[in-house]
Amino acid sequence: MEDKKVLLDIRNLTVQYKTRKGTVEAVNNIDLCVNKGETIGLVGETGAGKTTTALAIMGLLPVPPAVIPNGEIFFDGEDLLLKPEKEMRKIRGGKISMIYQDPMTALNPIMTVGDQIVEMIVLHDRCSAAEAQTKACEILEMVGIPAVRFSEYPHQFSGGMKQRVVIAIALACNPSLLIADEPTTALDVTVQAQVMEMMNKLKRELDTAMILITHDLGIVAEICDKVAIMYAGEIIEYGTAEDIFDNHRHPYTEGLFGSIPNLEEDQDRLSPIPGLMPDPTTLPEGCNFAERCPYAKPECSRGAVMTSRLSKTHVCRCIMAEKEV
Amino acid sequence: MRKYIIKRLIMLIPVLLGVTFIVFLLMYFAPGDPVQMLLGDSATQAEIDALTHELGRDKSFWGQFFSYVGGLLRLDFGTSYFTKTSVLKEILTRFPNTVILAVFGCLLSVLIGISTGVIAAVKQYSIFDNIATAIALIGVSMPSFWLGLLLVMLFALNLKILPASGSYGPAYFVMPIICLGVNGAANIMRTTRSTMLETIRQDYIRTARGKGQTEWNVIMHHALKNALISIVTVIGVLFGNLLGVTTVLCETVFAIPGIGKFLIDSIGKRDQPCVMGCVLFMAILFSLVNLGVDILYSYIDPRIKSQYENASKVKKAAVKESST
Repeated sequence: MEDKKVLLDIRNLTVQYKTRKGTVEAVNNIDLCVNKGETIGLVGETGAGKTTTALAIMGLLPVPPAVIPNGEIFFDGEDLLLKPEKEMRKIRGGKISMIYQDPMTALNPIMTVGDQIVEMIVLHDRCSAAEAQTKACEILEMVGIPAVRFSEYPHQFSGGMKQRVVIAIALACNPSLLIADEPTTALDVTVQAQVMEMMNKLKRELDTAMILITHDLGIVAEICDKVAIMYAGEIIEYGTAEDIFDNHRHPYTEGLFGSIPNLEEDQDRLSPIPGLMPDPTTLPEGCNFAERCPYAKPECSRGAVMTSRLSKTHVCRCIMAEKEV
Repeated sequence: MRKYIIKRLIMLIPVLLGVTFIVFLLMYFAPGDPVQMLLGDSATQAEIDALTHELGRDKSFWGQFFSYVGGLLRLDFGTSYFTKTSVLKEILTRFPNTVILAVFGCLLSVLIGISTGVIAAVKQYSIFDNIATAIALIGVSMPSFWLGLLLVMLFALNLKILPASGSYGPAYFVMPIICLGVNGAANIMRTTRSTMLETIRQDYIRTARGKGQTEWNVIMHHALKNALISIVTVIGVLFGNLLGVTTVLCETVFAIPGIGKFLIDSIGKRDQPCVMGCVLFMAILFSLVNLGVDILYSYIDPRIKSQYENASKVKKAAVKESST
C-alpha cells in the first residue's frame, strides 16, 4: 500500500507568544508525523497548544506576538517555515486547508456563502467564474446544503449549516491535508454526529489526510488512525488508536480516560484530574504534569523528561513508561 | 425597503414641527427688535407700530407661530424683513456654495481619512501609525475656524498664493475645503483605524487568509467592507454637520456667501423669517442625509437589510392574523 508515504513531518517545533507579561510557551518541541490519507487525532484540554500547532502548520500564527524559535514543518518534503509568503499562499487552502473552531464567526457576514466558496476555488484552480460557481454548487450539495441557498448570507443559516459551509470551503480544492480544529465543539450532539459522519465520508472519497483537533475522545475512537495527546504544549503520548485506547501508559492519558463517566456503573460524581494545567509562562522544570500526577516521584521534577519509545508506533513522555511495561 | 423609506419620510414631519417650534420660541424671546433696526433710532412710535403690524409681529406668540406654520404648509417660507425677497429664493441662491464646500470637504476627508486609517490599522504601532494618530488627535481637537485663520496667514499673507476671502472663482474655495477636510479626515481616520483594528482580528479574516487570499484582498474586500458600517456612520454625521454647523464657521471666516453665513447675518439682524428658513432647511438636509446613511447600511450589510424587510413582513403577518 502506498499510504505509508509521509505527508507532513513536524520536527522539534516550538512556538512562543511574546507578551508583556512574559513568554508564553504554547508549543514545546513537538514531533508529529502524518502519512497520506491518514487521520490523526490531536487531543488535549483547552490551552494545551493544539490550535497553535494547527496555525503554525497553516502559517497563520499572529506575528507578532508569535515566534517560532526552532523546529521544522516538512510538507511534501519541503519546510513550510522557510517558504516565502507567496508560495505559502498557494499551499494554504490549496494543499492544506483548515476547518475553524467556531463556525459562528468563521464566515464573513457580508458575503454570500456561495461567494465565499467561489473565492477559494478561483484562488487555487485555474477556471472561469462560471465554472467556479458550478463547482461551488456541487460542493454545497456534497455537504448537504441545497444549491439554491448559494446566494444566501451566513446569518440565514443555522450553526450546523454554517459549519457545513466552513467544511465546504475547506474541501473546495481537494486539499491533501485537512486540519479540523474542533469542528464539532460549537454544535449540539445530533448535528455533531451528522457532521462527523459527513467528514468521514468525504475523507474516504477524497483520500485526504486529516489532523482532527478535539477534546472528545469518542470522536477520536470513531475515526482516528493515530492519536497524539497534548499537555501544556507537549505531546506526552502518541500512538495508534489501539495503543492509546487499550494500552495507554502516561498518567495524564489515564486520567483523561478516567474522567469519562461510565454508563454501566451508577456514578454520582465525575472523576476529574485534580488541579489545573501549569501556567504556560512559567512551566515547571521536568515533567509538566508532575504536580497533578498521582504517581509523581521526586525525580519527575528534576531535568527534562525524555520520550521513550514503547513500540514501533507508541511513544510516551514519562519516566515511568518503560518501567511499568 | 420602499415602505421603510416612506415611513422615515413621514417621520420627518414631527421632527420638523419640533424644530420649527423650538427655533420660533427662541427667536420670539431673543432680545432685540428687527423693527427698531429697520427704522433706525429716529423713528417715531407711530411708524414703529405701523411696521410691527405690517410684519405681523403685534400678534400673540401662538398667532404668529400658527400663521408661520400655515405658510410652511403652502411651502411659503416668508420674506426677508430687510431685502423683501422670498426666503426660499435667498437660500437657494446661496445653497450651491454650501454644497460645494460640504461635498468637496467631505470627499477630501473620506479620501485621506480612510486611506490613512487603514494603513495605520494594518501597520499598528509603526512609525506611520504613531505619526498619523498624533496628527489626527490634533486634527479633531483643533477648531476649524482657528485652522482657517492659520491657513489664511500662511497661504494668503505669507505665501500669497491663495485669496484670503470671498467667492469669485475656484481658488477661493481651496482653503475653506482644506479647512473643513482636515477636521473630517481626522475624525474618519480615527474611526477607520479603531474599527479596522477590531475587524482584522475577527475569525473570518483568518478564514480569508487561510484560503490563500492575498493580503491586499483580505484587507480591502474582507476587512474594510465589514468595517465600513461604522465608518459610514461617521461620514454621515460629518456630511450632515458640514451642510449645517461646520460650514457656518468656515463660511464666516472665509466670507463665502453660503447658507451658514446667511444664517449668521440674519441672526445678527433678527431677520426672523430668514433664520427660521435656514434652520429648517438645514434640519431637512440633516434628516435626509441620515436617511441616506441608513439606506446605505442595508446595501453594505445584508443583516440590516433583512431586518428592514422582516419588520414589514412580520407586521403584514400580524395584520393578516388580526383581520382573519
